[in-house]
Amino acid sequence: MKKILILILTNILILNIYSQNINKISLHRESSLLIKGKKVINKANCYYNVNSALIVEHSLSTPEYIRITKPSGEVKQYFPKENSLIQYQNNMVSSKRNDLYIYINNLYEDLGLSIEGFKMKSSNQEGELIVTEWLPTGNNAKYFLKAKIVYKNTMPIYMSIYKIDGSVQSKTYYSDYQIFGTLVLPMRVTDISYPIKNDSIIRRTIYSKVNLNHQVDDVYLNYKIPKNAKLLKNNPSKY
Amino acid sequence: MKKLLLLLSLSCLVLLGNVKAENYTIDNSKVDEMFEKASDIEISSYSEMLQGGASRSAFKVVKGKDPVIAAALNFCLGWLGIHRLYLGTKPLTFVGYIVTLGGLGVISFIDFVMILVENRDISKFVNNPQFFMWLE
Repeated sequence: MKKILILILTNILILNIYSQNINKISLHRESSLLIKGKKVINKANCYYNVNSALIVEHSLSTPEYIRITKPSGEVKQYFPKENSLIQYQNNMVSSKRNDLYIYINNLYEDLGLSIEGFKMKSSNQEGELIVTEWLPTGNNAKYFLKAKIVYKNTMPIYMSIYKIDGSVQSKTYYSDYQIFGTLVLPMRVTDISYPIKNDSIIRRTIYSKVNLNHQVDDVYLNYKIPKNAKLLKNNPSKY
Repeated sequence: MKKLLLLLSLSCLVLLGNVKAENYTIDNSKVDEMFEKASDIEISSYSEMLQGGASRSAFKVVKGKDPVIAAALNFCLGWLGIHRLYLGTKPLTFVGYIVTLGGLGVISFIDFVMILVENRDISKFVNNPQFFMWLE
């Protein structure tokens, strides 16, 4: 057990040291959502600036948009065809809560649970797997009972979050890990959430076309929204 | 005998271990198959996204057909098929309810239960020409 923990920590330490060399990343993301036999697919190119934690997403699906997310939670979503803009501030959608931030900053050790206020309670070995349990702290304890992360070969392959009544809120499966320089990325993430009993939503995210540093097209990382863009009054943060 | 029990216990442990391991993985090909079979939802404009994004748009129930009204009509006059008239169906289906008194109350009772069960999205019952609206 100790050896495995030392191995995980060593891997993370090495990756943390080397990850400083990565300044920019771009990748293609295909997100699909399945609800009651109906699906929605969103294809986007994502750009990430490591130093400023700035994430820019260019949606290739209809409607086309460019979304700029900052670590402060400031979001600007521009629709070029309509020359319109949605702008809002919501810490819940900060770029530091984005999956990309977690992978790029090698926070996959806890999949961002510590950022959300969870603390590890136990760690057990089950065959070739390491199963860890996490307990919520602070305000989260009102809504969540616990969380579980399962590791295989030091990489997380599964995470589940439990509601306060003990039922599962979501299960996330991470697979097809690939290494790009010092970046370790699960190329496929499948999330199943249970908002209501006996009803599930499946979200499948597939990453591809990963580029690092000089290979990254700077156009979107330096994207300037036209000053004459019409600002829409609706505030998505309230939904 | 002891050896047999030990072997049995070990086999159970191995099997339990495998069950746990399987719980932590998912069959990606089955997930892909589910997505392939699913029908598309189009998001035509940003205004739909403003209403909460793609995930919320899929939760929309068919406007104008309130499951509460349908259930209430069924509860009061289900044997006459009034709820089917409200939800929309073929005239012959409606006549069938009157003639059979809602399948002697059995069909209308199943309709009532199904409307309550599927209350979040009763779209499959709307304009459904089948006599048994809950059959695929």
